[in-house]
Amino acid sequence: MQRSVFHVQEDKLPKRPPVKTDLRFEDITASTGIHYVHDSSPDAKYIMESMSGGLALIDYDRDGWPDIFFTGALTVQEALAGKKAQSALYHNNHDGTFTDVTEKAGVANPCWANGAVVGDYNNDGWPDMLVTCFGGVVLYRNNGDGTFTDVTKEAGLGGDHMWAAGASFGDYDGDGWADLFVDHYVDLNLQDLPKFGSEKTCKFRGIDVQCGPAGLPGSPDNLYHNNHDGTFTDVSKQAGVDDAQHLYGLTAIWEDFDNTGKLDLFVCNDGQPNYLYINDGHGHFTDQALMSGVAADQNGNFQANMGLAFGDFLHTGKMSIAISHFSDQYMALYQNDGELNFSDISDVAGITKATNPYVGWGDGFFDFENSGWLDLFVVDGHVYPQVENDSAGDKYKEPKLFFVNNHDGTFAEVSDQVGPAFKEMQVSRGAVVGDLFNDGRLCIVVENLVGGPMIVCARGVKNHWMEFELRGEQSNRLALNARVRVTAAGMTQLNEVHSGGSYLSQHDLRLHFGLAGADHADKVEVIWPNGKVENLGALKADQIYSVSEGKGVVPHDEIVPKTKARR
Amino acid sequence: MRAQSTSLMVLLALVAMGSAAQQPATQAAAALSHELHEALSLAEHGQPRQAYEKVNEILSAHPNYASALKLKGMLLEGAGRGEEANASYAAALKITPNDPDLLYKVGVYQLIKGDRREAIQLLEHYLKYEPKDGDALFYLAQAYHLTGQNDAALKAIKACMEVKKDDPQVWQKYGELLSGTGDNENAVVWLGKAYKADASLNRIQYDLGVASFYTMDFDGAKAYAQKALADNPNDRSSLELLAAIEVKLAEWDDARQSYEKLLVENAKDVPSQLGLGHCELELKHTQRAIDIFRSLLQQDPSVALAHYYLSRAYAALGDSAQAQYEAELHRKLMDATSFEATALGVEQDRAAWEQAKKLLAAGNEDGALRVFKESESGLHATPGRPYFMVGALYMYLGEPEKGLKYLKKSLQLEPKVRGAHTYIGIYDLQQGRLDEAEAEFKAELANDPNYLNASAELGSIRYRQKKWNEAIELLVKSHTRTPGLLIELCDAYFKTGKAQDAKMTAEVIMVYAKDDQSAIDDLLSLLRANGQEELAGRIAGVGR
Repeated sequence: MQRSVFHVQEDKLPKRPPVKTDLRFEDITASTGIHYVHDSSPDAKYIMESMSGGLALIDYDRDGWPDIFFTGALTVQEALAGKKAQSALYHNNHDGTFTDVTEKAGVANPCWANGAVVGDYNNDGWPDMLVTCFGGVVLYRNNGDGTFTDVTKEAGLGGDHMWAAGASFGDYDGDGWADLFVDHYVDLNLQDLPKFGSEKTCKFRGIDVQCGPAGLPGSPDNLYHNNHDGTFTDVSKQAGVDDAQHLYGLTAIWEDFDNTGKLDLFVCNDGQPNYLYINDGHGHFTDQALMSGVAADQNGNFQANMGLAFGDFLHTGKMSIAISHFSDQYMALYQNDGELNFSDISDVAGITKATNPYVGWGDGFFDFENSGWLDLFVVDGHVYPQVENDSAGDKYKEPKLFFVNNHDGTFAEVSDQVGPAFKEMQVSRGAVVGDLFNDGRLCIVVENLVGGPMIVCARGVKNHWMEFELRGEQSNRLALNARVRVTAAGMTQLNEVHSGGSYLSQHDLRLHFGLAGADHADKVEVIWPNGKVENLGALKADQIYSVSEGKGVVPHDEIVPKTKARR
Repeated sequence: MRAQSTSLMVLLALVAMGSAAQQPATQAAAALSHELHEALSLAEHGQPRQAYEKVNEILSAHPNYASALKLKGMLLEGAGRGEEANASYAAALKITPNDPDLLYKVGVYQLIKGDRREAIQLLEHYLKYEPKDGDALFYLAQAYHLTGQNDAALKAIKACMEVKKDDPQVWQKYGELLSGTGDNENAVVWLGKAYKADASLNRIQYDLGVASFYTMDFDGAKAYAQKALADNPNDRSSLELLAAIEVKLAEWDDARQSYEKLLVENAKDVPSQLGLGHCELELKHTQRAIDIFRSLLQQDPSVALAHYYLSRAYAALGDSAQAQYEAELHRKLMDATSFEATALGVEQDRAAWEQAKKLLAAGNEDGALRVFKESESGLHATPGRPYFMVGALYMYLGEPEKGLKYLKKSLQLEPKVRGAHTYIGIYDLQQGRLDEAEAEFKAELANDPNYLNASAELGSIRYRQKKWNEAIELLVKSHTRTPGLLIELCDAYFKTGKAQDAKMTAEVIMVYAKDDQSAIDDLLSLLRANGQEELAGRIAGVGR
């Protein structure tokens, strides 16, 4: 009897046994007391009605517990009627609940907001916040008393009236002060918007949808050098990062890709080549994305490039990149091979099949199982509500995807094992990760374009962990781009403090490490942004450590500023 | 295809019907019918050569006797002379255009021959008489599929499945068509069902491999592709599939061997050269990869991906200047492609355009206007747009007077209508009225600063005015792919000392003007005038 091909498959192919995980995500949204609802247009007839939804974890009062800032947006109709967008700040009550402190903090109406990132631009130890807007940016100085002040104009950022999307603080010139990069998306005027369905570029599978970004003009980007006096100077052109081609910038992040001690810059561009600006150490950058293999997918095609995840998922000591994309464009995983060479290993890593059908946004590499290996997640949601009417069966609301690390360079998609929250269909955008309740169990906070947010926290995790909150002294105060290397049970892990990431969002600045069965780390090192390596020795597991540059582990009080904010 | 015996029976019946239908009113006609039956009788009694001679005899005296032509076709078909048989059937069909059997026969033959649109027309016609003919539905589905009408193809094959409920070949076709529409998950199900029912189906392993590949089940796809190759080691498409899967699985050495096998048969095959170069790059055989990509680009300069890989290869060799050059070239080529849709002056539905063209040719301006009004329904309908479209169409058809009349009318109705100023400006430019043309392009850009054609044309005016930097700015902004304009851009770069940009533009021109020898000649002159002998030599050698 002739054997069927199905037998060939079963007998001869090395099939990986189905991956089982004990990890579960509990949806705690209802019990948190968070009632924020993101304003959205049901029809999303204009592109700016689809692109917002970034959020930030920011411990604004430095009590050691992450608080949450949700960015608020508008519909075109509301904007034309003069309505103000409502953002929201929720204070962490340390008991699983949050309190709305938006009005008191003075951050209710920054603008029609797209995203938010955290940095300490005046080095006073109080984390400040930059909100990117449809119409420039808003810089909120943290006053150190639970309030913020809009210092956009006095900081020299008031000249930006473009559609700001991604942003990231980082000390690119190593002077100990965080500089600021802001990219911009499409150049649009509310008074003269391209009409829904009016051009070839306003169709999706034959149905009328919002126009853009293809076919619309883009906007340039800005790099602001920190003047150490509360102001910035625009150095975009001289630095070579002004985006003369006006590509559609989205998420951006600073990172020392080539381990030269100088920060490089990665910028996601929607449907266009990403930028990988390499820092020459003299204030100038050169884009090397294409030749490095991170500008396009493995076939040289430019993808949608929305959310950005960084992580050393294979313990090579180098940060790899995962980028979320549009549907029919798999999530791209670029493995950092060193010497500015990246390989698109998405297929081999096993993440293409699950990600291909969905429009991906916020994402991240985090060790939710505390196994010592970074997992990967992405939240999804279509751009066009009208897809509900197309024949391809697309949905506006989409599920979230979770991949556990197989420890061999591949991932297994286990979304259906980690609890119903990941299967709940939503129109998600930003997603950030942090240890919200200081118990070593990571949570994901998702800002949805439509409706309220979702907060899910890891459960069923028995492994050990440790976390680090860093304070720079010679380095920028929040220690942005400092790295921590943890060696436990013979395995060395690397993590880094980043401003920005995911989709126009900000993860918890504290660094989390899973230690699996190890109840201590044999060695912990901090590589400060200036390159100095500080050895913290062996540390016990299951604790959050505060580290001050040059002083090692210190009580938490010692890394918290003693004074009110610097003006 | 249906079996010959069935065909013969049907044909005999139809020939009989045909002769009856022609109702020979005269004695001569009756005699003719008698002769035909003699030929038929010979065929029935195993004497096809004699039958063939007889029918030729009839046709030499009566060349338009449809029944004789049909019989001749049948005899030729029986002798395995398909092309001649079809010619005979086609000749018969011209005389009896509603003959169902001829519609089917010629329809299927046209499909086999590759004239798919004709096949669709004939099979659709046939199915009006025989709507439940599963074979015809099967072939019609295939014809739709091959012309990219996937929805219609699926509809036809579903109708076929209603008739042929238990036919694995039909399930296979359904699976193949589902795969063609991107529904590979269901394709795998139906192909699997077909395979289980009949493992000997032609190319079933390959079909399963393709569908599995697109569901990203690369391990499964590989097993199918290997099995398909084991069954048919010389099947090129299965080997191409296997190579693509091996690339996906990062099995670079295996993929390299697969591509090398493909190139043994056809050394000039572009995808295989590209694949081989990619494998060599991944295997760190960098110089070998560069040689392959260089050779490929010399053969076909339009392969943008080769520049992408070259960029990575040069970067691996530490030649960052060359890596940057190739990266920028790749970006430029990709950029131009992505702007192709928006760069067109007329972004209109092609069907409406074609329909209106016919109406204008017939002098029916109102009809053409109506077509554009209907195609522009909904939110984006504007009062001037249909008049602009008719004007643009007249300009395209070489009737500028009528075109200008409609373009101006569109501007009266809607002063900001997109494109009208540009079309008028282009006409002014053709007439040598530079100032008037400039005013029109400026008016267009005042309405819409991102109207690409206006930017391109104004850039050309600036070039003629020797305002090199302004020309560069506008031509770059326009994302033009027009060789003439790109040559102006290239020259403007040389004039402003930007040799690197000029060289890169020349490489882009080489892609867009590869079939335009006159543009290539102009480019070569320009390059040589600027001392770029090496590049000129390379461009001159492309495709040779």
